[in-house]
Amino acid sequence: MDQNQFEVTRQDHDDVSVLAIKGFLDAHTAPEFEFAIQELLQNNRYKMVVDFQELNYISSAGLGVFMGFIEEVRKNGGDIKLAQMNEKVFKIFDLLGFPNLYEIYKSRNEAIQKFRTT
Amino acid sequence: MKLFTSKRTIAVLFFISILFLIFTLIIDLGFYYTRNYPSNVYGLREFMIVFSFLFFSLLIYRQRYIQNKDILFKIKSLFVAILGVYLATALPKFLLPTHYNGTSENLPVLFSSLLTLFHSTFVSIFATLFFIAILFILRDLIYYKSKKGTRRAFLFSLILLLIYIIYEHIQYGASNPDWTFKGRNTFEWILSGSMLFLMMILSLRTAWVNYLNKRQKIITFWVGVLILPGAIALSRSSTYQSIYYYSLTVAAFDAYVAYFIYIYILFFLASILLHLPTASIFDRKMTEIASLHNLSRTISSVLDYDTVLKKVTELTTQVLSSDYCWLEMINHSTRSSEIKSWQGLKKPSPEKKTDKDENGLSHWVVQNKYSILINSVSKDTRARALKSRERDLNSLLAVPLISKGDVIGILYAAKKTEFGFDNEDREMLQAFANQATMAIENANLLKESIERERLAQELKVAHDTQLKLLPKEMPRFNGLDIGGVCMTANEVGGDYYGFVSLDDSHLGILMGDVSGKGISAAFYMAELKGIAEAYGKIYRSPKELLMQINSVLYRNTDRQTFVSLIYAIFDLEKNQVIFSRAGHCPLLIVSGKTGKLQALQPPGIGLGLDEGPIFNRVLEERKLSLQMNDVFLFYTDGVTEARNPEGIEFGEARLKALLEKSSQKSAEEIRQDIVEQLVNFTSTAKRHDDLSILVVKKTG
Repeated sequence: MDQNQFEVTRQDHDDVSVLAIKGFLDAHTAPEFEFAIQELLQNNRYKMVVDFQELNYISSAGLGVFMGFIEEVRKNGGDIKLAQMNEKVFKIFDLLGFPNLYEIYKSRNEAIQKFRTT
Repeated sequence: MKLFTSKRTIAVLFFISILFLIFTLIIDLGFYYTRNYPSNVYGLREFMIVFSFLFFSLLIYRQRYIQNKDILFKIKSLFVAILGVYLATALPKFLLPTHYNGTSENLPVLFSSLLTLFHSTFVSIFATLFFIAILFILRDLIYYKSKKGTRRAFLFSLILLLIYIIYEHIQYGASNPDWTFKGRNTFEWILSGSMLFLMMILSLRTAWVNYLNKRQKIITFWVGVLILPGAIALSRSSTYQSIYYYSLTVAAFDAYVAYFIYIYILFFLASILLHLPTASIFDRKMTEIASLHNLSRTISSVLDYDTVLKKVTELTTQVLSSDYCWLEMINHSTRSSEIKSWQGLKKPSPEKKTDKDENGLSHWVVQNKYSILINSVSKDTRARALKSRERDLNSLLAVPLISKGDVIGILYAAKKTEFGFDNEDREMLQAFANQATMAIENANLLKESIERERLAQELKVAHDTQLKLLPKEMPRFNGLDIGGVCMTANEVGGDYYGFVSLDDSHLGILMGDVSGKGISAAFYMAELKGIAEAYGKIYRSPKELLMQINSVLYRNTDRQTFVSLIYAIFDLEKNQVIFSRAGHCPLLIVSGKTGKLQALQPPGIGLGLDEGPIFNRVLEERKLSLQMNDVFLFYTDGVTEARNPEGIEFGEARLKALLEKSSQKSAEEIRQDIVEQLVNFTSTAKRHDDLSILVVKKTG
C-alpha cells in the first residue's frame, strides 16, 4: 500500500463539477486536492461534488481541506456535497460531526440532482 | 650574474664605466688638439666604449619598466624610447651648428670643431642608451609565448652582428664604412642579408597581438603608426654619422637596432590589421570564457538561492550584451511558473501563473527540453503573448535549465534588434544554463537543509511545549483511581488532556486532539488549555463549557484547524458523570457490576468548525450514574489508528476487547495493559500521530 498515492480527477456536468478522489488524503497529498479546488474557484465554478468512492483514508489534514474552502464556496451560492463514502471514511466524518455541516449522499447522481432542485 | 647583483659591485662598475667614457673624451680632446692619433690607442678606446655600454645594458635591464611584462606598457615604453633616440639625435643637430666631414677616409675620424666633438659624444651616449632599451623591449615582444627556436634565432642574429662589427673593424679600420649598402663586397652582402632575413623571421613573432582586446589593438595600432616615421628616420644613415664619428661598434649596434625596430613595427602593424576584423569576435570569446569562469566561481561562492538567480541574469546580460534577460522557474507540482529574476524588462510579470498557454514559449521549451532561437519575434506565433507585453523586443533566445531530466527553469535573453543572436550564442547560453542549473541546485539543497534544520528545531519547541502543557502527574482524588499517558509521535500530533479541580467532590477531566501538527498545533493546544481550565471553573455544565470554548476557538483559529474534545465532570456527591463530546472519540465505559462495555458517542461537532448555531444545536450532554468499580476510558484516535508494519489499524474492536478483559485491574494497570498491547501491535512501524489514554476507575 503506497500511502502517498492520491489522485483527483475532474468531470463537469454543466455547472456542477465532480471531483473524484482516490487513495490516501492526508497532510502530504492535501495540497494536490487543494490545488484542484482552487482551480474550480478561479473558474468561478462553485457547485462541487466530491466523489469518495475510491478514497481509502482521510486524515484530519484532509478534512481541513473542506473546511478551508466551504465558506467561500457557500458565499458564492455554491456548495461542496459529498458522495459515495465507504463506511470507514464515513465514520471519521461522523465522529467529527461533519454530517451536520455537509450534505452526504449515497450516489454521485443524487448529489448532482440536489444542485438542480435547490 | 650573481656578481652583478651586489650593490657594491654595481657601484664600482658604474664608476669604472663613467671613468672609461671620460677617458675616451680626454683621448678625443687630446687628439683634437694635437691632430695626432696613435693607432694603438684606438683599440683601447673602442674597448672602453664597448665595456661601458655593456654595463649600462645591465643597468637598463634591471630597471622596473623593462621587467614589466604588460604588453600595452611595453608598446608605450617603445614609443618613449624611440622618441628619446629621436630627441637625442635630432635636437642637438637643429640647435648646434655642427659640421661633420662626411668624406673623412680614416678611422678614427677627425672632428672639424670642438662643438662637433662634444655633440658626437653626447648623441652617441644618449641615443645608444635608448637603443639598448629598445632592443630589450623588442626581445620581450618577440619572446612572448615563443618557442626555443625563436630564442636561438635571436641569439644568432646578435652573433651575426658581432661578426659584422669585427669584420667592419678589420676591413674598414682605416676608412669610412658605408651604411647605405653602396660599394659592399659579397661577404658584406651575405652577412647583412642574413641579418635582415633573421630580423624578418623574428618580426613574424607577434603572438602578443592576439592577446590584446579590440580597444588595445586599436591603441597599439595608432601608437605603431605614430612611431613608424621615427623608426624610419632612425634607420637612415645620416642619423649615424655623428655616432659613427664616435665609435664604429656603437654605430653598427645602433643601426642594427634601428633596422630591426623598423621592420618589427611594420610587421606588427600588418599583424594588427589582419586581426582587427576578428577582434570583436575574439574579444567576445574571451569575455564568454571569462564569464563562464566567473559563473563557476559564483557557484562555489554564492550560497543564497535568490542571489544565484540574480547573478545568472546579470551575467547573461553581460556576456550576450542583450537588452533583456529573465529567468523563469518552473514548479512542476503546482504546474506553475514564476519569473524570479530579470534585467531590462519594463513590466516584469513575476506573478505566479499557471502554464495554460500551450502555444507559448515556456510550454514549448518544457515539452521539448530544447532551446529556441528566434530571429524575428513578430513572425513567431509562440512569442505572440510576449511580444504584446514587450513591444521593443525583436530577437530572442531561450534555453532550458535541465535537472535530472526535468526542465526546472528557462533562461531567456532578448534584444531590440532582429537577428541579435547566432547559433554560437545559443550554444554558449546553453553551456551557461547548465552551469547555472548546478549553482541553483546547490543553493536549493542548502536552502532545504536549512529548512529541515529549522523544522527540526520547530518540532523540538513544539514537542517541549506539549510536554510542558500535559499534567506532570495524575491528580489524587478521593474515590477515583486515575491512570494516564500521552505517547507523542516524532512529529507533534496535538494531543492534550488535563484536569479541572472544581471542589472536593467534583473533578473535571478533558481530552482533546488539535488537527494539524508542529508549532501551530502546540500553540492551539496551549490556547485550548488556557480557555478550558479558566472557563471550566465558571461553567459547571460540560455542554455550556464546550459551546464557550467553540465560540472562542472559532474566532481565533484558521478554518483548516479544528479540535476534537471530550469533557466530563465526575460528581462524587451525587455519584454521577456528566459529559459532552465535540467530535472526539467515543467514551468507553465498563460497568463494575455487570462487566459490560458501552461506547458512548453522543452527537457533537468538532470545535472551531462552526461559528455556533449548528454546533450548539447538535451538541448533547449525557448524564450517567457512577457505580463502584466502573471504568471509564478516554482516548484519542492515535490509539485506534495506530498501524502495524502491514498497515493494519489497531481499531476500536481490539481496544474494547482489551478494556473488557482488564477492567478488574487498577487504572494504572489497565493503562499499562493497553500501552503494552499497542507497542506489541505496532512493533517496528513508525508512529505517525500522538496517542493518549486516560483511565478512570471509581474506587470508593
